[in-house]
Parts: sequence; structure tokens; C-alpha cells
Amino acid sequence: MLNDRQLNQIDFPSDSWDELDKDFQFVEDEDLPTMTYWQDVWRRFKQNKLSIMGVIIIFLITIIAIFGPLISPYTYSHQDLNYTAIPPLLNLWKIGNEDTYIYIHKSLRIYTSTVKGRLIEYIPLQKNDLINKKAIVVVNGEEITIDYNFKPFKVFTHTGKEISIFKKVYNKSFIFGTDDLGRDLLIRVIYGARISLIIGFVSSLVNLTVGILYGGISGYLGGNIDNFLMRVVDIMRSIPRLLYVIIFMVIFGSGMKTVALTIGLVYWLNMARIVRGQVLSLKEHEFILAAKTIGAGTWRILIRHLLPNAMGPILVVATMQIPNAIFTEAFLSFVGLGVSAPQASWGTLCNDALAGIGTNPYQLFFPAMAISITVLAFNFLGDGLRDSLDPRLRK
Amino acid sequence: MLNYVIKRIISMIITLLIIVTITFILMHLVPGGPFTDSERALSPAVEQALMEKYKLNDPIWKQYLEYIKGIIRFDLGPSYAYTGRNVTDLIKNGFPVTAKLAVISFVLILIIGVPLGVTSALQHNKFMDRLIMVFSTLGVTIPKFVIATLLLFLFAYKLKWFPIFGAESLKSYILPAIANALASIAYITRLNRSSMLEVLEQDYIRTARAKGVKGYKIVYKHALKNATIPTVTVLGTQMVTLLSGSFIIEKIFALPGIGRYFVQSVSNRDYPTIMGVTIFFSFMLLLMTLIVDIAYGYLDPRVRIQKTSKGDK
Repeated sequence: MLNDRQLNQIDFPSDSWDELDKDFQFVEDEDLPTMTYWQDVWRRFKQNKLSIMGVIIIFLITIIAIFGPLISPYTYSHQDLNYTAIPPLLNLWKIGNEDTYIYIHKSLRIYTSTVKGRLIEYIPLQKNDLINKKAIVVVNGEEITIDYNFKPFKVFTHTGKEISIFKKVYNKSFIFGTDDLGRDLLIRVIYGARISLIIGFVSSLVNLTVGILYGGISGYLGGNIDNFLMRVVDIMRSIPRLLYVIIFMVIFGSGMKTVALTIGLVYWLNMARIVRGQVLSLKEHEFILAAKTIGAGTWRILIRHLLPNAMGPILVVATMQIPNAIFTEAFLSFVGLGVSAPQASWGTLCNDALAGIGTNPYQLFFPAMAISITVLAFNFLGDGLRDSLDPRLRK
Repeated sequence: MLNYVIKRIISMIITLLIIVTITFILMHLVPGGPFTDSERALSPAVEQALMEKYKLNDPIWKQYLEYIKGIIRFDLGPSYAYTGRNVTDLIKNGFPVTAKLAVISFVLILIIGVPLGVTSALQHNKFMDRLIMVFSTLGVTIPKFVIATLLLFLFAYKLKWFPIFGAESLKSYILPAIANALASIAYITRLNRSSMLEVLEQDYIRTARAKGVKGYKIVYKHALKNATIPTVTVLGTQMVTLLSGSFIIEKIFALPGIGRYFVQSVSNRDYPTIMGVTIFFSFMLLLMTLIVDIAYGYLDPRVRIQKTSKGDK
């Protein structure tokens, strides 16, 4: 260092210095609030409109799945064989001069209905002439003849005058229609949401637990153990896992619990690899060394220090696992190994509808829509999470 | 390279052995024998006779050794549900159908997925790109059996362009293959798009441009080859998707392939068939992965060098 005398001897040019204004104040650099990692993630996540939409849709579906059955007048297992396979869109005929409307089902079942499309009651046929394909029914004392030689049916009053279709209305009694056993499809789709979502979440949780344990141990311990554990993963990756889900289901029997557990237990390989990779790269950092020097044990380091830092990619994989599980469950239902009747997941509902696709396509439409929308929402959420948790992964 | 291939084949055989063992153990964990059916109970004498016939009274290690011996002779044991038929026969009957379906789906993936991805990348953020992305997102979210049913309903029932069932001509494979491949096409499209976008930003593309190479030539000669490498790596896993998808597809379109036997054997609790088909599929899968890995080595010299210097790690 220079002392004062030496400093004075240096000859600074006089224009090197400017005098400050008297009222000058230093501007603080710290104008912006500091952000934690999660605040930063949330800021980036908010900008992604699609993923916000995904979150909203998932939230709504969850709410409906939880509270829907409480509001609905029907239960998922209530059957009424007088009301089988009623579509969501009804053709109404107006009878007489009063406000009497009837709906005629394809299988010649007659219902009275309000003009808004709420079914009132089922009216059995008075007489059915199979040879001439004519049926007679009495509605409000009025005799009506239905000629089913034609499609759509021709309806005549007792004087022989033809009545044409009054109007098409949406079915207010059964908004999504009913299935082949007369169960309300809307409530079944809502119950299906419960089951499909539970299966998605639970299997994702199981997947998370197993994957974190396995991958964490493998990555943290390293060396031969890591080699061995990863070799096991390699072997398991090379087998068709779906077949093993099926084999497990054959062993444990079908049902919601087993489906969720099995899917979680078979699909953790990806998770384990991701966790291991994260742990491997993180464990060389100084803060782990610091934790070690103050005597933290393996588990403490793994759970308190490594995992929170590795959470980003893990969350993404866990989110993507949910739609996978929903799909796999649908597949299992299709093979006949899903949840057992009268419970119904979206997969079983679709499967039940396949047989009658030609006559009742709406039965497939609603559950299939439900699956697609949910999977789409989870995909958006997963993409958004990936982009905001780790911008380097952005594609 | 030869060294590498030999090593891979050896590890494949070991993997297969492990798979056989695990599958065997799993199938013998099933509570109750294959003939304890609550719906049609058999008399104890009949059940004993059946157990005797299928050698189920032997100690388990003996059954295991017999099974391994059988596999070496390509004999996967008798089927319980189809009396008098061998699992090997079922596979032999069904495999041509399944293979045909898989190959056609595979070709569809390549000839539709790759060009769509490239187009999307070249038209980045324009209308065409957006449209392709919307379709590829939808393609991933609609379950396979819904797509299959809709195709069947629309093109076979309503429009009658295609046969409703059976596997007589190539025509009857078209709808099943489309239904089977759609999700994979969507996936490959997205993959190709992102890798193409990445490649187009590379220095050598700029160099080529600076030298005045024509646009299409840059795409075909410089960009495409490098952009398809990620596609090649996932082809193995896509093959799995196609094969497992064929279960559903074969059921819906009533194609007499392995998948249909498998689905039937699951509901019939026909254990030898479940076991045999699982092992056969695993074997096919390992073989596919091996072929893809070797092809990968040829396509990307960097991988080849790495592999021969580091062994099979």
C-alpha cells in the first residue's frame, strides 16, 4: 500500500475527477426483490398459458370427481332396465293439443317428456302387431299408432293423421344418456374420473417412491452397487413391461388397488434413471461436502440435501406418469383386467361401449373425450413444468 | 464392431434367461392351480389327471429345467385352453399376422412421421407447423382403442372401403396399421421437429448456406441425416409400443395374430400361453433393440468409436 506522502507525490491530471452534485445519492442495485428458485419457477410457469389451462382443467375434473356424485340424483350402479340406451339427443313428438310430448326409443319404448327434454315416465305398449310392424300406445287417453316399417318411425293419431317430429332436444334427465343397463352415463363418467384419477395419482406416487429410493441409493452409493443396480434397470428396460403388468394383474387379481400399485411398481425404471442422474451430478457439489463435514448421515444428505435439489426433473417425470397410468389402466380394462363391475373407470366405460358402437356411438364418445381431455391437460402441465423447472430442457 | 456385437448377443442371452426365470417364477406364484376354476369345478380325480398330464406335480425346479430345455428346442409347452395345441404352434400361426401389422405400422411411422416433422421444423411457427403440432398433440392423447374403433366404424361399417375383419389381403391391414401407428407417428413427428430445429441452427448449416448451397439440398444432404439420429434411437421403443398396441388392435379388427391369443389366454388363465408369448415378445424386443443399436453404430460414427473403445457400456 502507498502511504499518504507517496499518494501526494503521484501527479493525477486535474481533469480525472468530477465534483459530485451536492444532493447526489447512490442508486441501490438491489431494486428488484431476490427470488427463490420456486418463485422463479412460478414466474416462468405463469407465462405458459397452455399449462395454466392444463392446471385449471385438472383442478375442475378433480372437483367434479370429488363432489359430482354428491349432487347427482343417480348412483353409478343404479340400473333401470326401462331406461336402457337412451341417447343424449331426443326426438320429441307432440301429442294432441295439450303440452304432451313423447319420445320414442329405437327399441320401441315410449316415454312422455316435457318440452325441455326431461323424461317423465315410461309407457308400455298397448298392442304390438309384429307382422304389420305397427305398435299402439295410449298416451293421456289418446291412442297413437307407431309404424316402424320406416326409419325414423312414422307416428299416427287415432284418426290416421301423421304427426311429424316436433323438435330435437337435449336429454335433461340423462345429460350423457344411459348405458345398456339403464345406468346414467354422466354419473358413471364422473365416477370413472374418480377411479382413473386415483389410479393415476397413486401409481405416480408409488412410481415416485420406488424410483427415488432406487435411483437415490444407486446414484449416491455409486461404484459397484450402482453398476449392479443400473444393470438390473437395463435388463428390465429391455422387456415389454405391459406384459408384466398383465402378469402381475393375473397374479394379484383385478381391482382398483392392484391396478394402481402394479402400474406404479412396473413403470419406475425411468424415474430411477432420472433420480440417479440427478444425484450423481449433485453429489459432487460443495454443499454436500459441507454437510458431510458436519457429520450428516447418508439418509439425511439424501433426503434433506440431494432430493430437494433434484426435484425439478423428478416432478416432470411424475406428472407425465399420471396420463400414462390412465392409458395403461384403460388398456387393462380393455383386456378385461381393470377394475371390477359395477365400478367403472373410463377404460371400462369405453370398452363397454365398443360393442354397440354402431347403434350407440355416444356411449363411447363421452368417456373417450374424458380420457383425451385429461391426458391432454396433464401433458400441457408436464410440458409447462419441464420448461419452467429446467429451462435448459426446453424443446 | 464385431466384438461389440458378440458382447451384445451374449448379454442378450443372459437377459433372456433372467426374463424366462422371472416369468416362470411369477406364473407359479399365481394362487391356485390353472384348473381351480370357481365357475366350472372339476372333480378331484379329473384335476389330478390334468395335473399329472401337464407334469404339474413334479417339483418346481424340475418343471423349470424342463421348461428351459423346451425353450432351447423351441418348444414352449402345451396350451391349456386349446387342447392338443402347442404354444409354439399358436405363435407360429399368429406371428406372420402380428409381424405384418407391425411392419406396416413401422413403415407408416417412417414415411409419415419423419416428413411431417421436417415440414414442421422448416415452417417453424407458421400455420403449417401449428397445424401439425395440434394434430400430433391430439394423436398422443386419444387412446388407441378409441382411434381403432372410430376408424373401423367410419371406414369399414359406414363407408365400406375396407373389410370389417379378417386378414385375407393387404387391404385389411391398412386400418389396423393406421390405428396402431398414429400415436407413434405423432411422437416421431414431434421428435423430428425438435431435432431438425436444433440441427438447422448448427454452424455447418450456416456454412453451407453461406457457400450458397440451395435450400432443399441443405435440408436433404446436410440437415436430415443428422436430424434423424434421435429417431433411430427411439425406434426400438416404438417397436414395443407397436407390438403391445397390436393386442388391442388385433382384438378390435379380429386379426388372428399373437396379440389376440394373448388377450384370450389372459381371460382363459392359460398360463403356458401367457408365459410363452411374454418370452417370445421379450425375445423379439431384445432382437429389435440389438438391430437398432447396431444400425445406430453405422449411422453415427461417434457412437461406434465410443462403443469399441469402451466396450458395451
